[in-house]
Amino acid sequence: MIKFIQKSLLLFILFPMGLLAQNEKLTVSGYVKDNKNGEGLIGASIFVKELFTGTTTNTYGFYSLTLPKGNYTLIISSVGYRKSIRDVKLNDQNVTLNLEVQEDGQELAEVVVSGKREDDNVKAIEMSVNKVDMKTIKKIPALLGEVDLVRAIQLLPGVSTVGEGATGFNVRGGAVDQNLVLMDEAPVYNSSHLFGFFSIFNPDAVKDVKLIKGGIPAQYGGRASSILDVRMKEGNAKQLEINGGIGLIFSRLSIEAPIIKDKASFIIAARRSYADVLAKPFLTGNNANTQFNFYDLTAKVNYNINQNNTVFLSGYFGRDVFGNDFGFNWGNSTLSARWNHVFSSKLFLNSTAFYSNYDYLLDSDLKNKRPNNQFRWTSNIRNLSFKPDFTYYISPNNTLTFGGQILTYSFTPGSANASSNGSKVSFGSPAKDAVEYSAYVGNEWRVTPKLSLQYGVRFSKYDYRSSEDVYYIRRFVGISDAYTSGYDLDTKPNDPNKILQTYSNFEPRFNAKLETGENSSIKASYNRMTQYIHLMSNTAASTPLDVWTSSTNNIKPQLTDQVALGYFKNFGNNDYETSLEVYYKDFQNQIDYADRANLFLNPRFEKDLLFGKGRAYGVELYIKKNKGKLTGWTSYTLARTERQIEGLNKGEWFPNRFDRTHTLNIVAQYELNKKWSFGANFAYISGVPYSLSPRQGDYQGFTFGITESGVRGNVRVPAYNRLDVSATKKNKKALFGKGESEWVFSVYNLYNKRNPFSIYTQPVDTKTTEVNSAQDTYQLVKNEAVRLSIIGSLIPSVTYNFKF
Amino acid sequence: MKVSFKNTNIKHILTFIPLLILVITLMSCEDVIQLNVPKTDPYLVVDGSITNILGEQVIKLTKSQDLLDQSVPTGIQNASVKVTDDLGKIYEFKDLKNNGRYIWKPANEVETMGVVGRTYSLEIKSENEIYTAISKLNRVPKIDSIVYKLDDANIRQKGDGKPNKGYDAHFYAVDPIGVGDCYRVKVYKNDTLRNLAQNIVIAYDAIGNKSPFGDGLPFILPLRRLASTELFRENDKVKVELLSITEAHFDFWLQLRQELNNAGLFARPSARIPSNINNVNANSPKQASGWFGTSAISSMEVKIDKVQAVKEFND
Repeated sequence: MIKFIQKSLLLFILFPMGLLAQNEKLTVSGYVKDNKNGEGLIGASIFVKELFTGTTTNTYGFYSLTLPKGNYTLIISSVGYRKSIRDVKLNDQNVTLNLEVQEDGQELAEVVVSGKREDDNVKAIEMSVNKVDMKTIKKIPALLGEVDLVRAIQLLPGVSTVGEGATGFNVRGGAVDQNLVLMDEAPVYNSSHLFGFFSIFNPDAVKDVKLIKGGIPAQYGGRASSILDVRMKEGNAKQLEINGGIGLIFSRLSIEAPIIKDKASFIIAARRSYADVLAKPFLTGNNANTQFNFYDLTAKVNYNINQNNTVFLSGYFGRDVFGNDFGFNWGNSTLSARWNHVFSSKLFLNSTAFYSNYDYLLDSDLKNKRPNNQFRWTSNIRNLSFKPDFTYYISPNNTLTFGGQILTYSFTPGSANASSNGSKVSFGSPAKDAVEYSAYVGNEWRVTPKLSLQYGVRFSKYDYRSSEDVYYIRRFVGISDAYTSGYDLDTKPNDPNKILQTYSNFEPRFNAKLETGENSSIKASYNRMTQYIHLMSNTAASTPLDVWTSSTNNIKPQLTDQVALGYFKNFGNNDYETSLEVYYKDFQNQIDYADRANLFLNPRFEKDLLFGKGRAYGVELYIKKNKGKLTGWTSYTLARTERQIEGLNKGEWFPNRFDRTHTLNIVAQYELNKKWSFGANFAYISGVPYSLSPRQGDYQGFTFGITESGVRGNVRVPAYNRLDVSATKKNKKALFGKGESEWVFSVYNLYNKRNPFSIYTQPVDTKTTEVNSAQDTYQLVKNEAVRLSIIGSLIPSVTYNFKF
Repeated sequence: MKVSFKNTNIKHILTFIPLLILVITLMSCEDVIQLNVPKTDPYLVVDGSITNILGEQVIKLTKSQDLLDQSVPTGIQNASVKVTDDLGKIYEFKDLKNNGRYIWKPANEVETMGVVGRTYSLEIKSENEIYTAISKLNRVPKIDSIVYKLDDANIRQKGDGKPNKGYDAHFYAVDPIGVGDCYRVKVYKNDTLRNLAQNIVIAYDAIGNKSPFGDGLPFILPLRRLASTELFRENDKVKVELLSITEAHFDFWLQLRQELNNAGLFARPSARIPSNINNVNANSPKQASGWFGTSAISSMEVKIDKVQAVKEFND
């Protein structure tokens, strides 16, 4: 029976290939590039006029079309580029056709908007996907004028955060650790500088951003909720280009240039904050040497060896540094090497090898002044991976993708060295390591001109090992003050060389699109995702100190199943695109934390964990205006995300700490003339839940809250609303009479709203009453309720950008 | 020196850092607001410790209040309070002034109630409920010395009315061998206890967190620093008290401190502060909170004299 199923499955996958491989056919393939800087164009459309069929370029700008013998007219188009038309003769051999297309230019009157791919919203099979181009992101009014990719995607439907200044983002009710953030295919573990105020991506180095919230194709895996796929620029292959900017927080500079014209190029982009430089005059005495800055460096080279081989090497290094005598710093670094190889004109390979590292350091004595009294704490997560991805272009109607990945993890959850008066000790959580193997196959099949299917399956296997000589098994002992989770750990001997736990999972993926008219379609999708690593975080916003931990014998991998259904319609010659999507998501093996959980430097942290399940559902409405002087979008999300955890809220369902009922974002951009353009965005967001004690008592002068154990989210923060505006003035010339430049003026939080991040009680040290207590006479300190606004005023800013 | 072993101190660092940034940008703000809080039935709140110090012992009983109530909690009267030690000796506590402060008076001038190594059981009968608690009185090491030096105030030591230049002081004591001794450190300036949330200093062996690595060491920094929130002035009387507490009492203080400082971007969900007071009837709506503790105390006091000040701490 199983054999029969396997056979039919194989047949199902291979059937479209067999069917279409009969007639004699030839292939035209090549790369589509921007003629100004040589960057490969992602998602450009190549349309065969005669056959009324076509394809799109992949993430490297490669396309392949297998057609019956004959002469054809190809129409190449991409949003923001002029349409170009090329004739191709497919008579006796395969043809390589590299194409360069021209940008639309800024002259509004002359815009020749290309035809086809603007209906992506309706015609593409993918749903629950948002692409925002950097040009649009750069026009959104930004906090302190810093163009920010992660903040921009928070304006999209289905995306939210736990609050202003919080690290990361939440997609469709998923936690911040459930987003796979890829930078040139290498995962990034912390996407923020300065907690969540700025993202780590330098806008001058980013080429393309794609957020996949649902219907996730089989080639992606490893996180439960979403994929944020960020591609860096390859570097101008035609001529030297310098971009830069001076803002209130960062200064930016990027240099890109050809190494060999049209063959090899590089980009180096760097940013550094200079709040500390500006603050220097105000820092005196012990604080004179206080450092606080953040910086990042992005570099990439590519070499187009020949038509069939291109190699890329890209790296990122970013760090936040705070310190004086003590030091605290954290950051990501990634390095990825890629090789694009065209085996035949129909088979494309991208192989990626990458290294990714996230680490932090806390040091009590950075300058080593007191070697006998020190405390030094480090933690990191490290990846090494190899991943080949194949695309086989069977026919314009049929594309097969397959590949695999070996991903090694090494975890140092926390190791500390301390010395006191010369006595030295080391402690913390012992190192863990793991290997995640995966393989996938997926097929995109245009069954009829109206119906397309994309289906696939990913298989993943995870082997976990601990370097500790013991391992732990959770045993239920009942909830008490000593065992807040209700569990204790039994200790068993462990062989560090042996695999302690293995998990494996099948992850089916499915997408379907049915066109219901010239400008409308219905799409449906299902995906299962597995996540083997987890971010241990029990604070309101996740902190840079939060530890990534492996699945273990106690911690099972997170699984999500998501179904989504959507209706997509464009209006007025694709001037407006709209979509309405509903989704339901089911989460298994969700992690929560008992009262007083100790997650740092604690080898027995599994004792403090709680497990359960989750569910999220919602409706997302998106209306976007693409053309004209006024462009922008409105997104509205009505959603709920909940969990049910053994040991919390008496085992009943309760809202996640990032649950927001209503999220409304309006983003508008207006181009007045060549010189001036304006931007505005408005947000209205419901408040998140938090918890307050109902009672208070007095103990030795301290007023403390009295609450039952395991109570979460019994009150809600009030709703949030904010308006930001910006104005951009373009100059014909930059500083030295060359290139171009612009001034960007912006005001964040225009009507000066003090939006609440959270509400809590805190002691008022200044108002005390003298009380006789047990032994002494005490000053009784009472508490008051405080509303914290992370941004408590309007914030004006000005930025100067230039380009040579 | 801002970093310590204490996990809760991580939050100190984290709140300190955005502060630095936000001072520059003046972005963040806190506003005192009014909250509608629910009416609650009062719990019994116990604040009492048995010590090995000569003289009377006090156990204070008060009623819990609704959250954010600004009045002084009312004492619970007409309760029967007694403590029994593990030899069966009973100590009666009386509410002598009818204010909820139940006092045991020694029979003579040399009778001391608390003895190291003894276990004490508390029983409270009040409003038809019976509450019990149990605690062991643990050992405490002697304090060897208090050393001080003239220094500039760091960012935590600065503030209104605080000296910008003054004396930083450390006390030296060595935790006895054996994992699991817990302590609270109390600092008095001119006989006034420094008793704000940031003054709660507790130790597990000689370090701030529960791990076996501090055993038998001298108390580490910053635990041994007496001037962590404010420098001392010349002629100030500086007194340190080291109190032994049980491990459960350590957990109580740890969580109390965590809850008092639980604010901002990295706040944790408010959690139950442990209590060793149990209502015999677990289903009664009148439950209890607070702590019945037992402590041995060692102390030392010095008067700041610039001649005695050291040039450098001998670290």
